[in-house]
Amino acid sequence: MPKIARMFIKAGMLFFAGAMLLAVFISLQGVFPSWPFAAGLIPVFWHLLFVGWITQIIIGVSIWMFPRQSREAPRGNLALARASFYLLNTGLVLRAVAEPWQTQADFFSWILAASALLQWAGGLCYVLMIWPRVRGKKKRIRRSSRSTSSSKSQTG
Amino acid sequence: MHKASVWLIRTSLTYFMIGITLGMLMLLQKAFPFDAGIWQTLPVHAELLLFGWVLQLVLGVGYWMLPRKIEGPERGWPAGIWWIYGMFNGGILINLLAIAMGRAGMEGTPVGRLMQLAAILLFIALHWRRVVSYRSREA
Repeated sequence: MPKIARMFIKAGMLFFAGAMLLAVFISLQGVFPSWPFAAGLIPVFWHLLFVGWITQIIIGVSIWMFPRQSREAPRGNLALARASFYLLNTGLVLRAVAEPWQTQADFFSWILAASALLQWAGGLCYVLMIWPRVRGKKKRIRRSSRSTSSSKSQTG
Repeated sequence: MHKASVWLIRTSLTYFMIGITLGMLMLLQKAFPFDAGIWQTLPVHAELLLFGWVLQLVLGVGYWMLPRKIEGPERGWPAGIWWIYGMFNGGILINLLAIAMGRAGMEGTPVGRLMQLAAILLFIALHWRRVVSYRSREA
């Protein structure tokens, strides 16, 4: 398993734990009705679960298991994968920090806006990276046979 | 990767991009309000990312990666997966259309959800016997 896939999966696990921790906090609203940030925590909980855990697990496993792109770059553009990792995770952490406090100060609105753009850019980097690896067998066979025949013709 | 899996996964990646774009717009609206109408796309955001992205990607990867059959067509009834693709995405599109027309919310429409249910039941029927081990000693 390549390092970047391990990074995505481990970060996913941490977000899973973080999401469940938040779920505990949110449930405390029943015990402490005056808990001020519970409303802001609910969307954070869902996004830690769906973006932080499920999406990152999907990304990590797809980078690891999807068909190889080429002999030269079997996993495709890993710089894009790394960019996706840092953008997505930074964006998500900023969101988790800013969203519950957003109504308290303008500063948090800026952080929230930055988190929106960072997460979107992270998603885009992933799609650009994985798209060429989502392809059928025939295409790969054709390409590899073409490269074999061209190398044969070069050597011959 | 099988051609049907390519279609399912690429469709899911397309829904993912549209879904996160709506998510980004909603979060920007939350930070610096510019058009409150953007909140009406929340059910679209949820439908695209839950059904369009996550579930559809799982269907595509499952069809590709589960053990293939030894006898007969290696992935079972060949047309089955295209019915799954059509019904599942048809269901998504019907739900999106209903949400756009203001006739449904997060819950979707009965027709859309029934089409998705039919797709999932067909997926289960098609894959049930592919969830096997061909190693006789494996527990």
